[in-house]
Amino acid sequence: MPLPKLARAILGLLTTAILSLPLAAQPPAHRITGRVSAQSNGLAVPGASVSVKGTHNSVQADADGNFSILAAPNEVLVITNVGYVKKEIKVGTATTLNVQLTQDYNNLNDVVVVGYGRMRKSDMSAAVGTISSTELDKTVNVTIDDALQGKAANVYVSQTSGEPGAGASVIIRGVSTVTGNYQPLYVIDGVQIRPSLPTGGAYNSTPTIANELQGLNPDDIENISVLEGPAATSIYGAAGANGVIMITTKQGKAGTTRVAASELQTLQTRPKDQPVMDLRQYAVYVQKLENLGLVPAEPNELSDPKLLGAGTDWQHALFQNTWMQKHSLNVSGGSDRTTFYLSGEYTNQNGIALGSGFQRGSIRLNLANQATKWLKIGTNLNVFGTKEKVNIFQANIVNIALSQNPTIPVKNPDGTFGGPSAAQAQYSATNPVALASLNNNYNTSFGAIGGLNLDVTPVKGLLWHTEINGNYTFTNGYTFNPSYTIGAFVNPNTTGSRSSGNNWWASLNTRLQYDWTLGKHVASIMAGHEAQQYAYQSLYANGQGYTTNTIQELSVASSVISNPTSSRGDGSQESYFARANYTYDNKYIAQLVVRHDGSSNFGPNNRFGTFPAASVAWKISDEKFMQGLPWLNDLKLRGEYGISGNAGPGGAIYSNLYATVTVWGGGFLPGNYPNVNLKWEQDRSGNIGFDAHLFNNRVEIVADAYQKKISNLILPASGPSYLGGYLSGGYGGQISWPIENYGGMENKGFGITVNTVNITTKDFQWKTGANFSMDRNKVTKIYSPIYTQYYSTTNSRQAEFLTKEGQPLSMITGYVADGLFTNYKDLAGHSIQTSNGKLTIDPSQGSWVGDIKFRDINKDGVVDNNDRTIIGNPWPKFTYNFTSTFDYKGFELNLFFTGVYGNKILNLTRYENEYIPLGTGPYANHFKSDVNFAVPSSINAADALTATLTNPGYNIARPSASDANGNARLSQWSVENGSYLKLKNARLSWRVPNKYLNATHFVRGAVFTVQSQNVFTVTKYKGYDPEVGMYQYGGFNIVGMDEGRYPQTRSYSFSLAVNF
Amino acid sequence: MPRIIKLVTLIALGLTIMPGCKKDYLNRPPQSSPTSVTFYQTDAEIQEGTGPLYNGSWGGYNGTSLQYIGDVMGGNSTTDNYNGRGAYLNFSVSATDPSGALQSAYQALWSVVANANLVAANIKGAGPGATTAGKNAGLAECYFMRAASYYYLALIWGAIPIVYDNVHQLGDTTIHRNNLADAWQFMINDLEWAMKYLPATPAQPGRVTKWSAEGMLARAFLVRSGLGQSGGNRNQADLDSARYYAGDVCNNSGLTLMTNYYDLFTSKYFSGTNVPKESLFSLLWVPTGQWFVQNHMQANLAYSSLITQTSDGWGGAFGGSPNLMQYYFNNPDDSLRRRATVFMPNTNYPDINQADGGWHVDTALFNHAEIKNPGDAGNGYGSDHAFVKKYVIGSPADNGGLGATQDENLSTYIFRLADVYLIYADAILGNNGTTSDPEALKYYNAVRQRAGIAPKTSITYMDLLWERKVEFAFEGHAWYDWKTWYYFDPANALAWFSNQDRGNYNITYNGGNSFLTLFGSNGYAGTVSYPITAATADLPYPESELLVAPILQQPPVAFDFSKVKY
Repeated sequence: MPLPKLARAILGLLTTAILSLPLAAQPPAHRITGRVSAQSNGLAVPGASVSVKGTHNSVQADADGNFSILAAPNEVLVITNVGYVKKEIKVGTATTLNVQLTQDYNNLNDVVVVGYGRMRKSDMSAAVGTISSTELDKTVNVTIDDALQGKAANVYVSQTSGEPGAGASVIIRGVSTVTGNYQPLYVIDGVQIRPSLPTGGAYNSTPTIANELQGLNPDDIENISVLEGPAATSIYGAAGANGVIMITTKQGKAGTTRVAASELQTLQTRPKDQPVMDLRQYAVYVQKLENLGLVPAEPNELSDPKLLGAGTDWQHALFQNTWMQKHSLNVSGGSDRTTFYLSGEYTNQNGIALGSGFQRGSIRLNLANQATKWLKIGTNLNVFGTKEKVNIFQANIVNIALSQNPTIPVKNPDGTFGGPSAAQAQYSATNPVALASLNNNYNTSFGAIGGLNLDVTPVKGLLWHTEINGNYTFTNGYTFNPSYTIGAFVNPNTTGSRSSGNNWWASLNTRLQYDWTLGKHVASIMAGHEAQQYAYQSLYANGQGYTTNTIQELSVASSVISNPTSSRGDGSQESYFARANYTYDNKYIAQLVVRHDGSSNFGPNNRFGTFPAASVAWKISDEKFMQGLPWLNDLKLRGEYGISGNAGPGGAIYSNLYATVTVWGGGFLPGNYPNVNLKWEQDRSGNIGFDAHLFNNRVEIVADAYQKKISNLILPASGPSYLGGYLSGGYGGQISWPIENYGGMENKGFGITVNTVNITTKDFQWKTGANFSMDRNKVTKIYSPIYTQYYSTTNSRQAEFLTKEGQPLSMITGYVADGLFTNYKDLAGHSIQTSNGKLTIDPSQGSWVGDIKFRDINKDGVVDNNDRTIIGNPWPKFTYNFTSTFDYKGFELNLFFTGVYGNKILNLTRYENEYIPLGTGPYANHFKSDVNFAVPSSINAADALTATLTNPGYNIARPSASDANGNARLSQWSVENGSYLKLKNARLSWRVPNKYLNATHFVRGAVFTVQSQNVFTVTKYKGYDPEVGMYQYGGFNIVGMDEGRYPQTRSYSFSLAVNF
Repeated sequence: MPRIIKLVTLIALGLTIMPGCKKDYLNRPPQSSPTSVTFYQTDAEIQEGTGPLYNGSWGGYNGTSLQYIGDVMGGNSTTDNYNGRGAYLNFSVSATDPSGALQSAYQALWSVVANANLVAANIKGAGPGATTAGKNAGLAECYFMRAASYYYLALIWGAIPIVYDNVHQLGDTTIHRNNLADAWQFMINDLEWAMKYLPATPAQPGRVTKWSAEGMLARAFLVRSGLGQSGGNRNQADLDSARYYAGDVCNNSGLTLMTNYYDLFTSKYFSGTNVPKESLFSLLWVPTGQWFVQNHMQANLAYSSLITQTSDGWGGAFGGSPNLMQYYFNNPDDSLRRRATVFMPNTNYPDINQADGGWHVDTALFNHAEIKNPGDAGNGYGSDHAFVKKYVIGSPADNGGLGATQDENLSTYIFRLADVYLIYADAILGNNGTTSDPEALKYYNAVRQRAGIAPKTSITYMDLLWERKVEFAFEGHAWYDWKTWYYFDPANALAWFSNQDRGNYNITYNGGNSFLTLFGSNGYAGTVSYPITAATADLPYPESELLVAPILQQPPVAFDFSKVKY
């Protein structure tokens, strides 16, 4: 529009002319060139704005901070940039000008990404946490869920496995479901992904891509917003109940093209050893058992332990020090009209356990184009491929390594794998190292995540925004378990399978937003519509009797190929949403949000749900009565209340039949009990909080307290077995229970984040950040108490978790052990422990000296299943994180601690290897402490009155073949304190000073970094790693159980990042 | 920009947003499975609905539970105490049975009932393409299955609730246990209905027929004849009914026994749609790699993975019980059944491991020297077993290339004609101490003749009990047959089990002059027996079930039969 421009120019000229009238002749302007840099580290501030005060004469510094502007000597240059204090400099006669900006700790003008929009931090009235890329860059993150750990209050991230590529369990503001998916919604540039729950833990018989987020490169993230408060989450209505993690990826900046390359090399170390016996100790132990006639004879060589070596250390054979590499390159830049960000990365992580590993290659291209003054288009596209080696997941190899007999060599002298002898083979497992090496089980995925967006600004203040987003993933699963003979352990049959699947999700959303300002009133309204659709397909076939071990395709499976199966399904959701923000005098803020969701998961009666929320905030520090406090820069009080929802699983309204096979051909059986009246789960939550900035914004405090009440909880209505239901049915005649809206749950909690700049001088800066969170979960209503029993491969079905009304989800249950029986008086005076229901003092048919004395909790004279009680709460009392950053010239030292306190862990590995001397069968290795098993002075029934315990002081029961006393009952002895404090990350980096780089002419910046992850862990926990995230087992979430997890271990990294 | 343009833009944009999606956008019925509403449109689809009732939910009973309850507890099998399974040997099965067999049987048998009820409900709502005859035949199969499951439920747990309609009873927390007599009446009603509508010849090979229902009905009447009785007397009316129905099957069905006993348990004659005429009801597994559709029995029974060649074969602890072995040693003529039931020293099985010229049962497995050391005699280590042969059929290669790990190409008998023959003889014997009735002798001796042993001229109840024990050894019968006896003669039945030798033994192989050495609990020669009482004659409800439904601890109540709609 040339006309108004001309008019404005004329007007401007006139104004200038009038203003300059009283003055003498204006000195001529001259060209000033210079560079804007940060005072703290001397780095360029690209994009800084340099303008002549009082004029429209303004330029932007380029990517190197260089600028060039015309100004007269008596004029004043104003240099500004987000995050820095505004600086004014009189021009004078200088022609070059180097400007150093000091950092502004006031982040209130930062822009926060919220659902379907962005807001200024100071205008926020809902609880939202933010994590910037600079914070993310301080830790080595393979996947984005790794990156979240410890970064925001009330976000409890725990790894379910140290296996490369495995998913983490992420819980925002407490677990909100009994059987469903507690993971938050991830919104990655508009693409909505809810990762499925980690399954399986140590023993996952159906390995699948465990983590849908593993295709994303964490380096591409610009920032993360964690929507926690109801007013923030309810814009996602039905999907927001578990919290929302908004991820925005990097965009290019106008200016010279920048090339950044980085290289990361990480050495991962093996875990500390679990205390299993070496060969000498094992020989002593076996000798003792043999003398009691409890195990078959081992080879004679074991008879004199002194002559033996240490035997095979299976843990050392399985766990290795390994490398992880990551190579990445990104190019970004653009013109005034178009910007781009292109990045590529390859990560190769070898697992510390044989037969595990993760590889990823990904490419991202983000483009933005201001097509016309009123039209802006943009696109994000991420394409990735991953490969995940899962041998170790499939065969419970960590546990096999712990209990494998030390007499068996890893390899025989001829180079073949060592295996059990004929006698051992019936009871003992095969060679775990061989299994990890010979099996070939892996998953690959290939996918794309991205979208297109369109901004139309027909008039000032009005924005019409449309997005099309999509996510497509193609996965393949391969398993191949060859035939082999290892020692006397013969596996004559090859088995293998191939699976493939694809799933996609797409959404179209469009919204109108109108912002206006009228005096002290600032308002914004937004309304939109969104349609989402998703679908999946899968194909599976397996084969057996492969004619060769080298070709691992079904085509060479000789005889039996099971019927290949396939499945597909889809779902959809349609939503309307609106938000209104209003601010008066920059002090009083109110926001209303409503979302109306319809989901294909529900029948026509209950298809739609409405989720409203409201929030208010008061910037009390701007009130007159608060003005006399110079140390208080800003204080905002917030309050919010809202409802969000959960649509649960799909298909529950239908009575699905599943295909099965009969001798006459195909057939169909009922898969589930339908519930046509299923409806939305409702999460009502309230939140109060405040944001405070103190002491020149050098102290920031954000605190929130919340309460979340969930009603109509969607969960399977587990009932008595005589009604023929199963929790996970749909095969083999098992009918799934109906999904119902029955339960209730409550989460109450509190979180506080304190960020401070402790010291800041020209060369030295010390910043700290800390957060502290606590959450109390309570099941308020449930169909019937849920007892989740865990069955492992050995004798450990004693692990049981109880979910019942009035207490937190999934408490650890078991017996209470009161020590060992030491004499007849002890035995005769105790409640009956044998299963025959009468007091039996007998070494083979009853209780005996050296057996465990279990407490008769209900005092009915019999110790039985009714005496199981809660022996541990797996939920932390609180969690805390602390980070400290020291900058000195080009050096930066960053320490990141993370901790949980007050949770209990059921150490099932120790239970199996320590408390049941014969628990893992004859020929199995055990913990060293087992050699101190109780030895009664006699095991002859006739000596009942006189038998005593010859070695008191240990809690290891007397081994006996029949275990008539029930010593294998799991007790509080196996429950351990799970509190820990980890130095999760220590990082030292050195930014190479420009003076060294200038000589190269093309290197603009270089940073060397050395760092260590999992540097140390302070804990009383005896297992490998106290971080045992929850996972799904048999349809329920199991919390705080370590059944032989793949541990996270210490690693050392070196990296070099160079900018060109 | 003029206000009017702004307004128009707003309205235009508003219109692009508001129309939303098509009405059926949110209708997403399942794509990869039919639903109860869309299926069951034709007679053929009804058959596809009842076919899976022959495997699937029975899977949790087949295998471990069938073996532990039927044969270990029934006194035909040895075992060790791995995972606490020794409790089945010494009658101390607890509500939290660590072996899992109790829970597995409980869940599976109720699951059979639930599937039968749901399929029946679906058939009742079948589409117009289905004929009344087709629907009735389908319903008859459902009720047959329900009754077959109740037979086990009643004999294992005693009084149980009667679940006749899972859809309507779901969520009802007032369901009590019903009187045991009602359970038997319920079975009889089901079978009488099934008998009317099932065809005389199977619709497809292996499907149940009118004769299956009639035979089962005879068995139900025979068991019920003893219910609530004592002192060895049975209810004559029920005995008469049993005699009537069993006699009809024996004389009019045209069915015959398999000629060769051994063939009954081979894949050649008993897998896929090959079902012997002798079979009245069998679980028909398919070697597919799908759990509970395939038969995992052999994995638990075979004593060596060299037999199965599929890296399973964990049956080293099982074998003929001393009590059964003594029978074989005392009755060397009963060798055909022995050979098909247990592996004896120095025998050859050319059909197993054919690739290596057949399976030879090595005598090295026997004559254990260390058995003489008392310390070694405990719990399965060191002692001998005449390992289990029945249902052990060798590798996939031995069986038409079909089968895999925990997946044998063989079906499982639940009810076969030989059983009806013995039921018939039993019903004729009735409350007499002995019988020489020619009808009874004819069918009783038919079973013996097939076994290659001498016919008898008169029969007592103990003759019948032993005949069942040997004929059906390792088919999961012994416990239920004992329980049937216990119903009307508890004192003698309890004494018989309480004195039965359940210890270990050693077979000394001396060519034709082999002998058995029995071992007591201390490992010295002797016997081991465990007392059983009225309190342990019913197995406990699984603890997990009582936690969810404590109402099951209340006394049983009478069932209102008017609620059941056929």
